[in-house]
Amino acid sequence: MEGIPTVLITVDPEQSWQARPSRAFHPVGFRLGQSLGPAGAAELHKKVLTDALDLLIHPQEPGTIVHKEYPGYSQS
Amino acid sequence: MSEISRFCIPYTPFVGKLETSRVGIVTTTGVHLRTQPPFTPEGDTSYRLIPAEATTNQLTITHEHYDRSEALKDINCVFPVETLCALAAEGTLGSTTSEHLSMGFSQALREIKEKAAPEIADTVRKWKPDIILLTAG
Repeated sequence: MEGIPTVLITVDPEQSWQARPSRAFHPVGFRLGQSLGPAGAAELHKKVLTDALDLLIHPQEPGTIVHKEYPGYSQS
Repeated sequence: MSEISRFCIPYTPFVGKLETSRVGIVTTTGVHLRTQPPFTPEGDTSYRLIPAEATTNQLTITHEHYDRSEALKDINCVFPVETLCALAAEGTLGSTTSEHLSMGFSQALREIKEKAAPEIADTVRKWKPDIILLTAG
């Protein structure tokens, strides 16, 4: 049986790590319920999604969680 | 079904290009069509199939374990169904799968592993996806 490549977008990398995702992407500082950004931020959503999908073409060690900051976006 | 090692990381390499890949979404955000039965918020191992062309105004969320206020205004905050279509339309991705799959909240891990997950895997495999995006609220 063949597997399917997956990538997870997570805002809680510590909890996600326990599920051992094959690849995971963490937009740093994003809140639960806004894992791709706030409502109406279509370009940010697109950027987060393409950054997550980039993990497929730039393979890391299995289980790696990649963290990325989006300086123009604050959720403090 | 054999137990999965605590140290095992299931990993399938990706071979191909994003611009020719078919991408689907599997989510645990409790998203569903307004016309579909809602999830049971206290715990539910069932799932809903969401058409790839679904839009925010056709979707809602039954899940009480995260702040849904932004996502109810724009479902792409947690379930980037429209974002995926936009990337396919501009050629960044090849296409989307014909549908996506959404689960609700559940901590019934054994039931998920033994019943729901194999069903979900069979369903997803029929889409013939090259990539599955996972989102979790």
